[in-house]
Amino acid sequence: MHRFWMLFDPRQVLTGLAVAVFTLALTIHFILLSTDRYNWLGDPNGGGLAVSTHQEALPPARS
Amino acid sequence: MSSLSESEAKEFHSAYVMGFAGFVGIAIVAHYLLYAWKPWF
Repeated sequence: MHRFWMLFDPRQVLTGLAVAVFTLALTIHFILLSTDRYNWLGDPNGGGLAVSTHQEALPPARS
Repeated sequence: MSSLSESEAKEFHSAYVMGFAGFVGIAIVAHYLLYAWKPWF
């Protein structure tokens, strides 16, 4: 197995691996943040206090 | 082709395997904690 490092330059392999793993980790973390169940920072899709969708009753129509 | 000799390749390989084992160990702990928090199946 160690002959692999005689074929491929360890510097290039480690750099490529670091970039690949970091990209994968970032992707997975953002996918989890986009879900309701695994978002650890709150529930952005659950309707917070900042935006109210409640509609007040309309004033009586004038004739 | 890299310029490593066989002994250098062996030396790097042992360090690489240790690092990989550490990475896998941390990943197993992370998955265990996440599954304990909210199981996905």
